[in-house]
Amino acid sequence: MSDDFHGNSRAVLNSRRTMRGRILTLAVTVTLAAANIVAAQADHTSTIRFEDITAKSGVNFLENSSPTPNKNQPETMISGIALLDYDNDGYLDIFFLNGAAIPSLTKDSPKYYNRLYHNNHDETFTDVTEKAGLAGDGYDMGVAVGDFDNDGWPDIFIASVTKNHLYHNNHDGTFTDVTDKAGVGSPMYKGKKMWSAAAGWFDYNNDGRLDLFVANYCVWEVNKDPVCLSGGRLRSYCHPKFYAPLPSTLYRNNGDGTFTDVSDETGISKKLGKGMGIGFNDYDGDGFLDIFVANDNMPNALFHNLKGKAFEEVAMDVGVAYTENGKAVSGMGAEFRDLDNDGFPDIWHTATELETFPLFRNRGDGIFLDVTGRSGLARPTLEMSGWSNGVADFDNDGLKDLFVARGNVLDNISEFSNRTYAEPNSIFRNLGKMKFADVTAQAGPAMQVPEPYRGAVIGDLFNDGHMDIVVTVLNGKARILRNVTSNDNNWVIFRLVGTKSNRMAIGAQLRVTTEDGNSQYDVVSTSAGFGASRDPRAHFGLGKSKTVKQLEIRWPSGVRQVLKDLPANQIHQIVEP
Amino acid sequence: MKVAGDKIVLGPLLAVMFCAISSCGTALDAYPLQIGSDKQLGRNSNHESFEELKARAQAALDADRIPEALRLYERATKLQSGWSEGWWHLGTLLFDAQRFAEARDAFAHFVSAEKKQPGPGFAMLGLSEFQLADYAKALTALETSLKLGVGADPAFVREALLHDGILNAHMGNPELALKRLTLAANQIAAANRDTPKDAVFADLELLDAFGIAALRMPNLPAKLTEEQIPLVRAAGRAQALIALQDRVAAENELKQLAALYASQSGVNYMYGVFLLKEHPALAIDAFRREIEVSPSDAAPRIQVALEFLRTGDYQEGLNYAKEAVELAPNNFVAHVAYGRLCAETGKIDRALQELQTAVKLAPGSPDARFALSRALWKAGRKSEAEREQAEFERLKALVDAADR
Repeated sequence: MSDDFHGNSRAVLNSRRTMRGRILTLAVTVTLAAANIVAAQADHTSTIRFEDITAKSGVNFLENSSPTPNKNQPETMISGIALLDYDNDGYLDIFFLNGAAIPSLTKDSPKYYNRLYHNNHDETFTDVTEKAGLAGDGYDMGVAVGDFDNDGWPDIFIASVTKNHLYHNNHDGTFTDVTDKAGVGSPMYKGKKMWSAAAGWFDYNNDGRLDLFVANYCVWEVNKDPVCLSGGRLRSYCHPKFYAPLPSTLYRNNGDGTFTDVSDETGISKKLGKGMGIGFNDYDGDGFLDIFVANDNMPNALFHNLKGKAFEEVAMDVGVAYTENGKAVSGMGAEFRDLDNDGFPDIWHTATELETFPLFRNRGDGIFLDVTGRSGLARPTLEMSGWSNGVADFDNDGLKDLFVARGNVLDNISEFSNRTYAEPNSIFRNLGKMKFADVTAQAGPAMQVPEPYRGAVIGDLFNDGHMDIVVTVLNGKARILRNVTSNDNNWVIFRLVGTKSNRMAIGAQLRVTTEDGNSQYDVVSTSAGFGASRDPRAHFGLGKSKTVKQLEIRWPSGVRQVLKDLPANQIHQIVEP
Repeated sequence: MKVAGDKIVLGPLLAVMFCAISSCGTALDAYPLQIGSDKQLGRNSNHESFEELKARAQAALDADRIPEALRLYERATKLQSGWSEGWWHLGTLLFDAQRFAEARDAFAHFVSAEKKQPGPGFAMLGLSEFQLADYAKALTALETSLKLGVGADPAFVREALLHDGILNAHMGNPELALKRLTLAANQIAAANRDTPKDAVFADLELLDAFGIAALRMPNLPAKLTEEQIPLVRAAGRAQALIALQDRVAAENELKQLAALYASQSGVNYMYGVFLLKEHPALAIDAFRREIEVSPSDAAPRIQVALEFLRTGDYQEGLNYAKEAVELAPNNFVAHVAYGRLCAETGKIDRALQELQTAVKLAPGSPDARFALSRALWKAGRKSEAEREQAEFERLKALVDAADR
């Protein structure tokens, strides 16, 4: 690997690019938390393990989709979970989305409330929903956390079947619904508010303000779904092909608490799809974040950012629209991060049974290759139905692993098939060189429990350097899966604070080089999986390395910053110079 | 209605159906019947006689005086060759009289004259050609009818789908046959919500067609021997259950079928295809058993190759694909499988050769184009890759539109 930020081929790729950034080596870091390693045993045979701590955590969130005999499509797919430090106490809190009554599509009972749980720093959480003012009012799907006004406090956007909502953080544990002022409540298509399934914050024009991307799903009206029979007699949820697609929506942040719908002027609305998972990354290294959207049974979309002015949809051209056999699959959760440490972000998304979960490796020249088969993911995922997913280095060995929340789409599948509605979740350990192994069976009893999982989000809930997972169960109880992987590997977490860039530094590109000379890459992004908003901090496993020899950050503003010899097993706050 | 030589009675049903699709009471009364030289006839001296003939023909039909109705419709359509309703009635009466060649000609006139809803006419044209054993033409007409729409009468839709399925299986396209027959089965099930399976199982013609397609027998139901019927019908029952998505019951039927007829060609293949969706790891064993039973059959080898391709076991798939290409050099899917496996194992030149052959064999296949475009990308041949990609997108749009 060369000294260039993204390696030789990216240097070639970027040769026409104007280098706007400055190289800085200011080691201005603040240590936020000391290591609290669960066990420091030198054990190379240790495996990724999770423990279900839900019972003792105080989290008792029950997702309620209001399943009806009419088999309304939204009933299958509530997913939203966010990990955010809403009170800036240094610990991630948990926010769950919920459904609503059908056919009213309103939260006419507390059983439909969205729920915010405050992290008590001792493995327990407290429900603070009502104080926070986040119970909500409609049928909610996906959540996105971003500090849209750069005040240092995370705000919340909710994508919904009904009206979308933007909640401003009041810095005192409460939120104010600013949807109407912001103008982001009702993305319209042919005169009707679209069903929004997921959303994400990113700064598409690098002006230092977070913009908002919303993935819309399909044209739908309550209790007007077509009648789809399985087994010749059973009414089932219909295949997505029976519903018309919708365009996505892009809102530009005007900087005054309002947003402008720029979907048409940027070209975003030209592409129709059934959007679910959203991933942001800079696949061609031009300094502007691109957007990947996993579409359900339609070709995926990759919106290439034309220097913050417009987008061109290039999924087909770059090879991520279809799987290797030319088929559009049931794209759901999506991740857009570098999985093989070559500096080029790859794409991994989930799908349903018999489709496999496609993995596209970024070749570095603007082309992605479908490597699902050769990565070892095809065989284990062939019979899985995946929803939200996530990427994180669960064993801190320097390689990002994969997690998927699973469950069949059809609640009555077992009445006419050998498949089951409930499925266990799965973890795939990164073996290096883009090879993965299913290690679920060794990951502890909590990982063997089959449920109709939907949501999943990853973050370090306990600031111990181990990335934990929160999952939701459709019409069941959410679970907190604490990462109890035991080994002597080191880690580091960076909390970036933008100054010229957006305050959360969303879009910042990090390159971590360890003592052995190996490098890892990641992007700051809260957008993850399907409808999820993950830990906004960047986490890296360091293996045996006790220091980060060099951290290089390319801030969204273009500023480049280099820090050296940062100690491991700490959370570092880094302010943009 | 029976196929292949048995008595067929469609007249009353089709008369009602035609009125339903064409709004006889209103639209037909105002229908601009005269075309070409008939305009003169219609507007001048023959106008009265045509109207009279039309009324008399209808009266004869209503009174079930079939020979008279036939004669009157023949005369009326001679006077006005653009009168589609007349051709329809004439065609159905001829069809019911088993005068299939004349019926075919009448329906050929109908589809030329009928501008609003020619689909049912194409279906009847196809059914007539079927009776005349002109299977290629019959299939073309039936496919056209399905594209245009055959109306909403369940019995008639069933006839069109059933015969389309029978013909596709006979012409060596069992996958498409199964699609058509699956639609027919689901339509029967939807019309019999309380006992859907019983209703489908009661349709022995459909079961036989299912069995023939699933076992990939190049045969017609009417040509089945007494010895073949138990196997075909058992396979048909299993396939009908698959069509109704009762895969648990289907698996039980298939297990019994595989146990009873393990040495019969096609049985293990059928079971393998089912297992691909239920227990993919077991499917390969079933296909391997089929290869033992039918050593010269390329199809199970193609399935094994595609499955290894799907699971990323490229080296294991290569030999199967190579053998499939050797056994069936004109099968484009075999070339696609072999080409893709070659590409995945670094044999890019051979991959391109195979995929180009596939495209030559099936220029309208989006799958072949897509595989070729991906291989060209891998080979760094950008402009050619883009060209194939564009063609893929064009063809895919057509296929998607047809599916819709």
